[in-house]
Amino acid sequence: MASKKAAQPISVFEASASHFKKFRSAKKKASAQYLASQPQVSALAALAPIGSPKPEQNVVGVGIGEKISNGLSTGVMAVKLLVRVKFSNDAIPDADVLPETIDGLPVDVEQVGTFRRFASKPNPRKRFRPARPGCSCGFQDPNGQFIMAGTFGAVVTDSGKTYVLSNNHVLADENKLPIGSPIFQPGLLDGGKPSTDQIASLTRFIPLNPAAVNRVDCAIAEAASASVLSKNILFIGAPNGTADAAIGMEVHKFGRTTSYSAGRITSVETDVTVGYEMGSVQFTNQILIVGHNAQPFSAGGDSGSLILERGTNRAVALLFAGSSSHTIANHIGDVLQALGVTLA
Amino acid sequence: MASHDEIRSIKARHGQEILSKPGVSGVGIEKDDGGEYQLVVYLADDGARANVPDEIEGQKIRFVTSGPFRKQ
Repeated sequence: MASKKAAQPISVFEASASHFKKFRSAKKKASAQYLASQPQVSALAALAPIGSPKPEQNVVGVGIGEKISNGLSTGVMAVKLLVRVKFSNDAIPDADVLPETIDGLPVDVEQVGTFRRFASKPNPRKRFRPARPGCSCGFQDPNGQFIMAGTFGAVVTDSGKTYVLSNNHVLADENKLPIGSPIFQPGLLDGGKPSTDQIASLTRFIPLNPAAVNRVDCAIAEAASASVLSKNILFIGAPNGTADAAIGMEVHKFGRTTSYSAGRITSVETDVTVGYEMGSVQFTNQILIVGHNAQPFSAGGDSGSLILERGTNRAVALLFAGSSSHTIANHIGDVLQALGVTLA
Repeated sequence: MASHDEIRSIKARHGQEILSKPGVSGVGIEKDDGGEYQLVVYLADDGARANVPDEIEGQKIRFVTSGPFRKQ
């Protein structure tokens, strides 16, 4: 398989169909030799130190691509051998040295580490018991005109009682629902059933006032039992206390619609007009967030999500509104103070 | 360059009036690329730009087309 002398280099920009045929054939050979006996890699095995230069263990992928030399593109087509660890040839037994060519075609060895499955993100629209922040929740319209879902943001407590924290418009339908109204997980829009999926009852909301300037859109619902809720946010874990939001702070959240997203705070004192079913409502001193890579940080249904500083998981904000480019959130301190609760 | 407090007091004096203009979604404070505080007006659409002056009390306003804000 290995040969001494490489054929004329083939440019990646000029490779013809017959060139590709040769490379595919060489790739097939290499795959058969190196990849056929690969054991399945579990998450645990991936953590074990990998030291073997034996090609059967070290080569984790075979492909066709551009040869990279000292980090620079060369424009030359090569058979790519992807390895866990790239060893210097004089540090390993001759038998383990990878060939410089295969069927006369150049070989490029690239270190990629160990491949394994990405940790999969949970689906926030499913039923969770205990219910976990980040998942779908909501109320039932007493008139049966619509079904909805928002996000369960956090577990909060006061005087030994345990509550679901979310927005007024997610738990109380914009001031409309009577205290004691059932709260479901998942929300009815996500298949929650009134007969089996109640987790809490509406306890308190801060009224939204279209005729005044507001600071928060928040409400709490007392848990049916303390054990029906977990404080561990899906994918993110438990919040680690609270902090003041600051311009430039890197934040993340897990919500019912866009699940996990990360972004950056661009303002902590913006006054906004927000559209509700009841009409326009003004808020003062709100937090603005933009998503990374021009991706939206949130969308409809993410309301109620807790927003945390990325490095520390300290809670900084409660998500409640936005546009296609911006997310708006209340300061978490304002929310907890208005409701008279603390973060669990 | 205006201090954070100066920008805050300009926002306090004029924010409500600017927010009441048609097509204005928000009035806030951000930092520019050089780290200086600046007044920002968020617009529901580009057309609303004409409803707000370019500067106020000598402070240049930065405009951001955010679209209208809705509950999520």
